[in-house]
Amino acid sequence: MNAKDQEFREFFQAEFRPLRRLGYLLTGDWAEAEDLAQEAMVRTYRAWGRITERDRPGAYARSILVNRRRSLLRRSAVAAKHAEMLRAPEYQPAMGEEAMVLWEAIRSLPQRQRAAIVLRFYEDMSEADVAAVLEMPVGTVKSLVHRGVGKLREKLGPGWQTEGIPGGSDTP
Amino acid sequence: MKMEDHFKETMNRAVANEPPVLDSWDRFERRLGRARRWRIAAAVAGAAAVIAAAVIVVPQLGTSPTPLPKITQPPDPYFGWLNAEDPIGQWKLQHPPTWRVAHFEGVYEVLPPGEVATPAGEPTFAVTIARLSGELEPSAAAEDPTVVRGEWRGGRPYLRIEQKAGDGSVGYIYRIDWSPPCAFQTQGTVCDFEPSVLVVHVYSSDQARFDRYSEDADLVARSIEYWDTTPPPVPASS
Repeated sequence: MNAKDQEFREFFQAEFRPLRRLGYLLTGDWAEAEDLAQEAMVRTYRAWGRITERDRPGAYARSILVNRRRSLLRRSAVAAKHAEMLRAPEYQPAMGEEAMVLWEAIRSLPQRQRAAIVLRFYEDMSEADVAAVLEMPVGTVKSLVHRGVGKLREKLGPGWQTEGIPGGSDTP
Repeated sequence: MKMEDHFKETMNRAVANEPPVLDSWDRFERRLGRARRWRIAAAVAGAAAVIAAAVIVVPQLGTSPTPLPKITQPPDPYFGWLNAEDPIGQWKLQHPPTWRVAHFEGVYEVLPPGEVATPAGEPTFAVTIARLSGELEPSAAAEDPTVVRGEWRGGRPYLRIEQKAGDGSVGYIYRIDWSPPCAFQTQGTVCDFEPSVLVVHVYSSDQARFDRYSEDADLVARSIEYWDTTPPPVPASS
């Protein structure tokens, strides 16, 4: 194994599982998440010499994964039905009722809003980083997060705390 | 707790019960290595074709043709059917003349008479066809004992997956390896591609419709064949 392959393998071992988790949060399906993570890794490997210079292979792989998901969604009717059938029931998330309500609300968001919410709050990315991954202006990301949080608030009802969310606060 | 903390905690819980990562590196290497293997296979196939042509065709030059035996053909189940094709998804199929083909956003639906297509509502019976990126074998299929594996037209491997919707609907899916054959490639050119699958879903919202249409629907599905629309490479100027 040459130095490039060794370096990439270390990256793979560190990042594959987080990438697969990101894929799951975007799709709700582990088989599809695995496929997205694999595809992101293949493309990252092919671009490895280029992206290591920028020292952001993790962000690059996430960008590939998220945008791959978006392009697949354009052909989503079959994929959605198909993914539903392949979903392994034993890997459904184990969580309480309140968290399940929130998870279902996140899953029901439109894809771009969902991606922005997942990257912003699960991956802890800055708005600028989310914008880079989603390949859109920062202003659009702010708008997506704002509208996503608004929709979540709408779905969850008034009982939820909204302190600290940009555009999500009920208090003056 | 801030709402953003709720988000993070909920998403962490959502991924906490994840399936084990078993052979991801092997799968990655297989996926990465496929393009390389295709290049080698294409070169070997090209050489084999030239040798076969020399062995079979050359000795027959100058000899008188021998009459071929008559073969009684069984009735053609596709007699009178219409053709449909998708140059982007690179497939062709046949369907009964009373059925129609609807198309939206890269997804095709072959519909019996009277059935509504997706943009206008939810179909109650359809053969849905879409080409998607990805490997033939999704990880969940590997653990499913009901998945049947076989060989499609042109030797393409496929899976047949029974529908498990639990809402009274019935049907099944053919998942066919739809990666390009790269047969036109010659040595020195790159045969690089992304693995892709053709997902053919025979879907019925209820058993009665399935009983009524499934025979024709399966013939539609099984008529699907690869359509190589890739232009041949321009020979390199010396």
